[in-house]
Amino acid sequence: MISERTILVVDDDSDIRGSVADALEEEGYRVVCASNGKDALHLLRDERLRPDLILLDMMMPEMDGWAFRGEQRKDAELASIPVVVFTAYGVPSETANQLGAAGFLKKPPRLDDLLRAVVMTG
Amino acid sequence: MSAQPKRIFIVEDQRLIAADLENTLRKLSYHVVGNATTGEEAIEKVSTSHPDLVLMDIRLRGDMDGIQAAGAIRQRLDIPIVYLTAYADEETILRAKETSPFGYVVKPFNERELRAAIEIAIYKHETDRLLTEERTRRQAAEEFRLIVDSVRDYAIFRMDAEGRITTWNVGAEQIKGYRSEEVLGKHFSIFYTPEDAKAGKPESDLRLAAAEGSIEDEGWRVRKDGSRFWANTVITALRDEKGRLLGFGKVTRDDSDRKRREDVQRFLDHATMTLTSTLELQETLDRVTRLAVPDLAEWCLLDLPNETGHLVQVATAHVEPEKEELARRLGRGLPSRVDLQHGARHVFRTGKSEIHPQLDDPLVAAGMLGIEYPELLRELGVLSYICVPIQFRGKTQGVLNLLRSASARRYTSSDLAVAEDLARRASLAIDNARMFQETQEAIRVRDEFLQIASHELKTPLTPLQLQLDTLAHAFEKSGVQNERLSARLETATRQTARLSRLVESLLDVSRITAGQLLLQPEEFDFSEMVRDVVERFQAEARNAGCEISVGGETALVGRWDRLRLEQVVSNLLSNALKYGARKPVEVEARASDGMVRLAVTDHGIGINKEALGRIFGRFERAVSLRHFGGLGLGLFIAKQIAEAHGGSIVVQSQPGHGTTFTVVLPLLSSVRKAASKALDMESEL
Repeated sequence: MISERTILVVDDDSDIRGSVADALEEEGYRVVCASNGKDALHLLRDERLRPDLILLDMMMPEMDGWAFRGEQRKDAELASIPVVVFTAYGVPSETANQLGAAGFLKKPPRLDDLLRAVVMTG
Repeated sequence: MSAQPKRIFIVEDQRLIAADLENTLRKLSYHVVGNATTGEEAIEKVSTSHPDLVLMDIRLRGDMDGIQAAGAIRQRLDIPIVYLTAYADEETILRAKETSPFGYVVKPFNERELRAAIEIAIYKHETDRLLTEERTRRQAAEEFRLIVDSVRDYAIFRMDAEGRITTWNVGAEQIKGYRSEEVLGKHFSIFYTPEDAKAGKPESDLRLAAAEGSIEDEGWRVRKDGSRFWANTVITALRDEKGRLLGFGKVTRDDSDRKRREDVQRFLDHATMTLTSTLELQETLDRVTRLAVPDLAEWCLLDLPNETGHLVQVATAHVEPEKEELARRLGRGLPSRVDLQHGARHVFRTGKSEIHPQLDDPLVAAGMLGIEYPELLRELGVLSYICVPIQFRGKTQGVLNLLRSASARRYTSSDLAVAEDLARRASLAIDNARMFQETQEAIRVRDEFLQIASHELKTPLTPLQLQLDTLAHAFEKSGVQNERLSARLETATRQTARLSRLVESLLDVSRITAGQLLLQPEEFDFSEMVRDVVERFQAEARNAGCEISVGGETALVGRWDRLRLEQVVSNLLSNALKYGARKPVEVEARASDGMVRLAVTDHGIGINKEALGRIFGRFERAVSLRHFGGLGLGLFIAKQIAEAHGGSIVVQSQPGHGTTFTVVLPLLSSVRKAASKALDMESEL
């Protein structure tokens, strides 16, 4: 792999973060995790993290996926980072549409689904 | 003498005398229409020529003399006969008298005698005729008057041409309340309502009757005491033989009972229609009070108990919109007067209707209605009060208060019957609306729970499934050969995938019922999608002991919701494996007539006829739950998805030989949203 691609995984469940990270790292991605929207914004703004893709859970404490996406879209520097809605809540495809996300991934995903979503939208 | 010459017929057997007679008659300006020489000839000719008078010789040749001939003619025809005779013996005169002759002329006659006899006979005949006619007419009139007088159910009377009453029967007295002596000579407009009288209806009715001969009408009329009744009336113009208007005859029937029955039935039918056309609770309550006004009440209050069991006014209506707001804010402290033996609370307690026709004291009325400020009642007006219970499920569930403020409309027992009928219909509607509301609420709670449960179940499934997949992947990459380990890993993966599908199905049901099954169409190859799904099922198929073969055409490109159709194929495949009895399963996709057909065939236990009709229903299964588990949702969801694509799903099965499910989808799918469809289903719950 010429340049290592970075994926930001935002999810309040540590096992989910860990599993996704394991699976993606296995495939050679660099994975950074945040446990809610606020942490993710901190990484992006203060740590100046620029991932190739954000995998975004919706229902999270402190700052949920909707609020995070709202902040991200308002921020000119961050708005262009593609987001994949990653949720078990409601109808993920619709949520993705509403938020102008690049894609969606239903929970629980098969490994193939996860990799396909990352490859196709990264 | 009129201008027309009188027509005379001569019966005379002596020709000379006959000719002389004819001459004389002509000279006297009579018209001789014929003559005869025998009685038989006379009878025949007179019958055809119809003369004004017959001159009949008594002595005739032949079997019949003049007296006999005259008798025969008089029997048939009303024609005066004058006898001609040369002599008259007593016996002949007596015989002649029997035929009531109009005169005799004794031969030889002179002109004067002849003319006098003829004129007298004709005059007498005309006078007799008129007298008889008049007698007959009087007799008929008298008989008719007796009939008319005795008719009690109809008012029958006559009026002169101006509409003043000239006759009056018992029925008229009965219906209208006037005695004959009070009403004769009065103008008939006193029977009309003031509005109709003012509008000139009495006069126009007479004009119309005069023009048309007779008119029939239905409408309100007024009795002597001012009360109104629903009348059916016929006015007939009476004319003499010259067509001059003599006056009018009027027949009136009191149809109030029929009118009332019809009105009540129409009112109740309307009530049923109005109440059954909504299921929304508050709307139903509002409609109940609005229905009562104005036909049954000037204002109406509906009381239902609140959570603590106290009656609360939940709907209000008043004929005057500006007073409705006042009626709504009556400040009814219903719980305060427990001791009261009448009124809303009492009806609520006993479940028995009450009618208070005379409720003139606002203080008493306030007590019955549980109103703290009686002065408000004065403004709203109360003179008469009915309170009926709202009852369903064998319990009194509220009361309906009906109030009238117009003195002419105090409540009667028939109003109470209508009020009770309305309350029964209202009860049914309120019960239905309540049940519907509760059901809606229960569905909402269920769906909300399913949403949460599904979300909560999927959260732990996410790392579980990913870890298993990653583990299997890593194990495969490691190149380690361990059959037992890889089989266990496969089982764990398979069961986790199955659990994920089950959780997804749960949520789908609530989405479908909530109308949220939205399709995300994209273009893809149907046959390739089918192969993908089959591939994913290989592990499960091995476990079930069934081999899945895929056939048919390839490259069936169209626009559908890929994930949803994968779900359809998955559901059909998992059924085929479950009931496939370890025999091969065939999957085949083909296109024809702009449709894609996917057939999934197993050779397992099959479905009996009785179950075929219901297997697509929610939570249905063809087999006993003890032998085969499952949520009973797979086919239901598959059918909803197929139909949302504008397609369908059908089943053919032979018990013991297997089952084929065929999904038919339009190639150029006109994908419609499933929302409306899903709402339809909701009502079948």
